[in-house]
Amino acid sequence: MTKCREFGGFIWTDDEHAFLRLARDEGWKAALKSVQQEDEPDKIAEASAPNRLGWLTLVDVAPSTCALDIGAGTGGLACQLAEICEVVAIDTSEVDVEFLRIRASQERLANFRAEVADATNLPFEDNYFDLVTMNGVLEWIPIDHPERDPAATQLAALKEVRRVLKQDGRFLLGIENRTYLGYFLGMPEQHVNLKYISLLSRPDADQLSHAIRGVPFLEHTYSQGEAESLLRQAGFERIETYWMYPNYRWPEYMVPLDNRAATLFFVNRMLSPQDFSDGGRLVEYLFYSLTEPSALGAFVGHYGFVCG
Amino acid sequence: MLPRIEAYIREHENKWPVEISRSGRLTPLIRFNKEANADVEREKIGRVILWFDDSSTGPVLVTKIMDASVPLDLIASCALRQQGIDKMAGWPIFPDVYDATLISDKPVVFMEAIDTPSYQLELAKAIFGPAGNIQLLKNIVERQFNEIGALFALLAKTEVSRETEKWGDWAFNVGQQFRDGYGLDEDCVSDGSLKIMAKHIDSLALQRNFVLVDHYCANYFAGPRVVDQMDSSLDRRMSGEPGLLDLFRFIVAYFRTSPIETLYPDWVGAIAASLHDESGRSIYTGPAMRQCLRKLGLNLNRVPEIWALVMVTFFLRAMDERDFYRNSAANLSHIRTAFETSATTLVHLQKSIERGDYQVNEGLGQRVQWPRSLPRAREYGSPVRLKLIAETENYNIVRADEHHLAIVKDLGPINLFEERIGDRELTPCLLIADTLEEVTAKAERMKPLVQLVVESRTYKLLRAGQRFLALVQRLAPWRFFATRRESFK
Repeated sequence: MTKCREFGGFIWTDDEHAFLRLARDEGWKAALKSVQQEDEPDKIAEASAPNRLGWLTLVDVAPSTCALDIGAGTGGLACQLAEICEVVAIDTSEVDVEFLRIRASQERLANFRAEVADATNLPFEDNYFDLVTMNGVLEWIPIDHPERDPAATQLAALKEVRRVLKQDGRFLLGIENRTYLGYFLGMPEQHVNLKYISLLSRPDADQLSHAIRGVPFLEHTYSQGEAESLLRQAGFERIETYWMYPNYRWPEYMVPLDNRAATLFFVNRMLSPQDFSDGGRLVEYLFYSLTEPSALGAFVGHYGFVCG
Repeated sequence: MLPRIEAYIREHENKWPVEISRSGRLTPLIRFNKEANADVEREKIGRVILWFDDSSTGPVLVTKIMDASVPLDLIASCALRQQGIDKMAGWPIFPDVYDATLISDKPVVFMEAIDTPSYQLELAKAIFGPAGNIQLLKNIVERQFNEIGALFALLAKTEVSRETEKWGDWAFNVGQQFRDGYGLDEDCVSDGSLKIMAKHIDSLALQRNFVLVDHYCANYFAGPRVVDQMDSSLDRRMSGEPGLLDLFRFIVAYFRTSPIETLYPDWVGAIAASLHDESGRSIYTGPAMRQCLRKLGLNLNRVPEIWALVMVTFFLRAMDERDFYRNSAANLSHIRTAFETSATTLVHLQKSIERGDYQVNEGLGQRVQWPRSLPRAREYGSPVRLKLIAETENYNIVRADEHHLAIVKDLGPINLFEERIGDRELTPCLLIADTLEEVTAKAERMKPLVQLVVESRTYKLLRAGQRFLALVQRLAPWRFFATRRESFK
């Protein structure tokens, strides 16, 4: 089972030992540069861009905050957050975790700890963390549990988050929208690179994935309503939904989808048609045509949920 | 941080001239600094939050989270200065600043919310948007330059110092600092070239004025009432630069950044063309920019002097960016290359302007070089109205909306309705002019040899001399689920 290479947060290497040795000897940036592919997002920028912490504008973070970053990858969020507060970063990849430890050591992050852990079985006490972040991770969790129903696996992970989060804590979830307008227009789904798959029913999507990839379709994303429903099932009562534009990894805007005026203002006064890539031009045209924010919210690319 | 900011707003809103609904919540729309998605060591500009309440149709308040290095007293003095400028001008140029305080150790400014799009967004919509077209672009360019010209003309009357000064030596030093700062050869920007620039600037006898531009933004003016001036370098700039350069900072930024730069990638050439083109035949920005310069009292016959102002402004801008990116070696290297190219072009054009033999580069865009990646939606737009009105031996003369077109007869029958004809001249198959007489004259001069190579459902492939052209006939219809069908074969 392989993950889509589009996501720079993962470390792809044929020789993990050499990669980690390079990270130790010449620095974590040098190691990331050594595995940088031309068609991938800039791995160093992904791991260090200040806007990775853009989320934190929405919550109060103090030095006394205790935070958990699930699926920390190369530490883009976790390591920067650790400059402000105590952070525990987990990932299922041993390479990623070891890389994080090397990076934390080189950056002298005293408040940072990285562990290999499974999001569906978090090794932490109840009501432990003030802040939990899960950015571009929920859709990948079922890959580590291919024998289970993906939605059930994801719900289990979200319930674990609720369990370890303090009652007044905040959970920040970034995930793509399965009904993104671009998908209707034939843009390949970002995780598996197949057209229309996220729009199909799950059994049909499985069938398509088997036919083309030889594996089931596990990388489930959700529409706004579906995601909010899943979060409620996991025990989150307060949910604020944002359109993370252009995406939750490199955000330039966070647009509140539950405020009509704000969403319209963004589309009419801030969204530049030039920002859309060639493939998304018709998407842009249709966005301008959609004047009803409830309709618009169904078709945006990336969501950010702030839950408590 | 947001909860604390919101709490502060609720505590102090009574003191500010804003109307915020007491019931319901305040909802934030957050804008981040785009630069902070690159590998920079720290954010230079903080975050902007536009606040909406449950009943408002637009933002009710703006909050700016500034960089921690910006002291509160600087913000206060800048706000005061802005008020003073507004009062002198008799016109609200800046958004009102209501308050500034430290929240979570960061300076946070509370300001008036302005419900107008930026100049950059207006242009982007005219060029790339679904309703964009050439006439809209022309109108917007004209309006923007008129506004800026009027604004600067107003501000010039409220100058800090009425006395004029000689700025030649200063300009020469600026040029050298640029060259040395970027480690460029003297071949790129010679002392001789700098002396010529300095001589012309000396001849202009410029005043010190206050400074208007947000120097650290990669964008140019967001338009009056949108930009503010919270900048620690302002005092230095106010006392150390001629005020007229602010207008040229606007001009350089206007052409150097997207979307105008997308239309005219040779931005230096575009400014030169605009300086020379009164009629707008070569470039759409010409008449508007010239009119703007006229408003500021510049003699448009003195192009070498104006070009000197463009040069020194560019050097200043380049040094601003060197300062902005000083902690990022990768970005510095990238901009060095770009600035070296621009400087070389500036000097090259300086020579031809000095000689008086400058010719507008026809390849610059006799018509706008419309972006290659046009939105497909544009091709679904309203059809162009065509009328055959004349013919020559080799061409049909057609009127298409505001254009006259000469279409080579050898092309045979073409369905023109699904293509936005008139945006590009496709010599020798498609000639464009504003009047019937001009396009007929062009057609008379051409002896095209156009061969149809092959024709598909969507394109005619043509050979015209040494060039090959693909002329779209119509768009293919969307085929949903075609992948699915194919993948199950």
